[in-house]
Amino acid sequence: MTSARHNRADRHAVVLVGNPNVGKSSLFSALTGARQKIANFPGVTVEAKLGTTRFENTELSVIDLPGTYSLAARSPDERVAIDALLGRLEEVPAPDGVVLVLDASSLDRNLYLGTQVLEFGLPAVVALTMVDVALSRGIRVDTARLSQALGVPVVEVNVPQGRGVEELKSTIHRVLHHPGKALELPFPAEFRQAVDGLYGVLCDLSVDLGFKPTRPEAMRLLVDLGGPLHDEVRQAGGQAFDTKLAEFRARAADGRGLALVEANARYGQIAAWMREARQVSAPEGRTLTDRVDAVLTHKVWGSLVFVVVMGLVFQSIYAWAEPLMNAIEGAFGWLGGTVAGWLPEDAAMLRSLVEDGVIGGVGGVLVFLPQILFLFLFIAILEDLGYMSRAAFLMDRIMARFGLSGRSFIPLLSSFACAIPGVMGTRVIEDRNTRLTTVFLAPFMSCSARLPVYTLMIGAFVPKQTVLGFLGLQGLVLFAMYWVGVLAAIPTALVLKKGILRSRVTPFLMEMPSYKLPRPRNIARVLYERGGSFVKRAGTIILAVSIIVWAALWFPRSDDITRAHEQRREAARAGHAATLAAAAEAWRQGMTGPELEADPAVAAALADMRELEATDKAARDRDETEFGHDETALAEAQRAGRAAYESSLLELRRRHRGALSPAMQMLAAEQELEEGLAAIDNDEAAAHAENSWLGRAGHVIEPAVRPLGWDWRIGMAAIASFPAREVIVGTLGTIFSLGDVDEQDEGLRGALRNARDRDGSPLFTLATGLSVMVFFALCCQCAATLAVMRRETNSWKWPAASFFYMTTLAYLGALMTYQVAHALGG
Amino acid sequence: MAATLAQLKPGQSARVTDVRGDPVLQQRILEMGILPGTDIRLVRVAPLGDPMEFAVLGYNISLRKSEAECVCVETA
Amino acid sequence: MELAVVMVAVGIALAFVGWRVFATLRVARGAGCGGCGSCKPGPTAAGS
Repeated sequence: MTSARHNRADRHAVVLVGNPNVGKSSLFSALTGARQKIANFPGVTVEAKLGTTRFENTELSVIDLPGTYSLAARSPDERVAIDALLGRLEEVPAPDGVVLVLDASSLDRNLYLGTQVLEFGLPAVVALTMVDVALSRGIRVDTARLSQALGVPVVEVNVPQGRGVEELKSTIHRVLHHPGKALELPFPAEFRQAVDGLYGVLCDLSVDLGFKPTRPEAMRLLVDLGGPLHDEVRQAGGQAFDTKLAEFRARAADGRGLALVEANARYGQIAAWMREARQVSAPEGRTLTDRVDAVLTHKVWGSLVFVVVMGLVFQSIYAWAEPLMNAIEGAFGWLGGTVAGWLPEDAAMLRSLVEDGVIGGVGGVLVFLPQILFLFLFIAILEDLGYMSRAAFLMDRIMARFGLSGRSFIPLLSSFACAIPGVMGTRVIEDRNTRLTTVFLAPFMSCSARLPVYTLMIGAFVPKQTVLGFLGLQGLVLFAMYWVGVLAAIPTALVLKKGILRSRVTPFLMEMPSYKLPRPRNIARVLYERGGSFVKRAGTIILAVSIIVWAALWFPRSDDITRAHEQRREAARAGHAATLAAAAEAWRQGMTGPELEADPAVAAALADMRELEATDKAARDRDETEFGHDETALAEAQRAGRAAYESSLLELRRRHRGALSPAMQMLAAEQELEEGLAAIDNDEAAAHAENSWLGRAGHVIEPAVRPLGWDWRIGMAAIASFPAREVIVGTLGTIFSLGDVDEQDEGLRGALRNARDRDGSPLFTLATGLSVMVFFALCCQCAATLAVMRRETNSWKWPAASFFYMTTLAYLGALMTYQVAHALGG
Repeated sequence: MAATLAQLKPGQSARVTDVRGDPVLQQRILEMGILPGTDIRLVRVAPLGDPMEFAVLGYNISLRKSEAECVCVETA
Repeated sequence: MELAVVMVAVGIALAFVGWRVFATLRVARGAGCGGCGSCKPGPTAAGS
């Protein structure tokens, strides 16, 4: 890797450098039009982002670096900035110039980084942002004097109003054609000499190092302790280099800390410049941010607002998303039916692939889109406002008890909806070890995909009763399931943070940015991007996995099973015809079944009877939703409904006289046939499933899941759920002979209750149900989370560790739960 | 023992005299502009007593109590 | 005919998953991704 710059004349690259939260990302978007996440939180961008723009005939690549307060390179993360400036990053063009983004409202701190960057001597332009914010605080910056002091052009930029962007482009274009001049600050003589000496030593080692060192790097090496550059140089220069470095450090320090020498020189020079180039007209009063913060971080009000805000986030995710989710479910049901209608009647395999595999799989995942959008809507608004820093401020003390930082709180909270945004949200955590710990903990939070599993198991096996007079036992168990994950996460955090991921210090040191109004366009963009990538994933990798899982459950297809069930279907139809014939004979001697069906009097009675049944069912459903939470009221409503049904029936009997009896028999026979055929379909599906590759694999793993109180069917459903845990509901439904049923279906709950083990005892007991729930609470059954963990940690080590740790923990937890609950007689 | 930032009362201003503690933490505090001679004011303390928010050089920064204890100050 | 359609679908699915796995492993070793385009990689580094 060299820093050679052989970009052609019509093609240049510049790098954006600046503190976090100065509007760098918005400037990047304004320059390049590239879509990128912008948020009002320090450090939201971690990777370098690239975009291109044109000026006249020149193509300009723009590199956006993570916001940073300093070029000090104490860790590999921090070194990215220097490497990008020197063109040493792969896949990022070597910059021909720098755009230094400075916040006019806090210029001193911004210029600390600014002086470090200008020492590299690249052609540079200053983009001065937040000038309006500064003015509102009575701070006026003289750009001409600032430009003179720094030796580079200064352009005022206001991205929301679109001012200054074109001027910035033309200024960049202008400076790129002149060589830059390195800024020289009045460091103490001993310090300067030590940097020069160290620079000489580095240059001598440049062949072994494999790159040409620069003077600013020599300064970083001198001042920063334990940086990655030091490790590299030590490899090249050996023990002898360390001795020399110690000598240089001792000479330069002059009894004081080197960091202090550097900071004194920089801030001293900055203060001198500011006396010339800045006027502060009004004494600093209470800003709007201060007044808002007086409430939002207040002992009582702050905590109250915090609880309400978090409650709102949960409310929106669980409740507001519900109607949208139902609509999506309905849309996919309709789509499945429509598509199935297009396919030839006899193409059962293709229909199953489309309905169960493609639409079932992709639809099942897309149902979660509203939840994801609601979560990101809230996160985007809160980030844009600047509230996230306040949440971290409020929670830091509690998180610190577990060795975490306040910044870990928001990602972990998001993980209750979905671990994926949670893991991505850990980018705001500066300290690498704290960040890794938080990434590791995120999948322990009970995400929304676990909810269907809990609802199903609790509905089937936890009795509907109240404890302590007012608490519902079912709700209590659900609440407990959420705590299982949290309680497992706490010791994990302690072990990680006190053990392998111990940080020397976990500095909190967080800038509290001023509040800003959320930008609707930015929020819309975040939602569009997040929603888009989610839909895209569902349409690609999840679609592919769904098809593969479907194939594993379909093949090999046994014709014997199909034939046997076809015979049962024919028997059922014959039974129906016989019942019909008997009813015809009973009504009128010598009448046959088909004649009965054609009889107009009976047909009229049948139509009325169907209508009555439909009205009654609708009334029962309405009562269920309206009074479901109140058993006495529900019983009362059901009694009233029953009475209404009886009186309507009497009325019909009067109207149709004798024709009502055969009509009722026909209706009953029809329902019986329908139910019978559905049961045969399900039996067939179950038999095929057992015979499939996935089914056979289930038998192989059965000994392993026996101690958890499971049989092969539960084990198989659990294994099929490893790519995505919500798969278990559909899989259990198929396996327990009920086809595709959702968690609200009383039928699946009933089927689970009625399911028998091979010895005839009930397969599911309360102990089994609890063991399944604990397993799902602790297991990392989500391929997407593991993939995101890899991307965010840039290593397979973490997702692999997480997978094995959580699977082991889930197995042991389920084992313990089952054995204890079983012993207690559950 | 000299006074530290951690001992300030909300609203109280002081001048930094020294920054101590772990070298890496020291460097980070210095980079943020909290260095000898700078004026700094405690804005507020989080509800649980930690961390603390300070105003320095025209912006606000929050430090943990343990970090604030590394910064020695003199009050006017 | 029906079997052929299903086989092609499953084949494409397997190939896609295989490609993604391969691409992820390549990224893990520090190479560029398979190129889904969603992350907009820029021009390659000059001089590297």
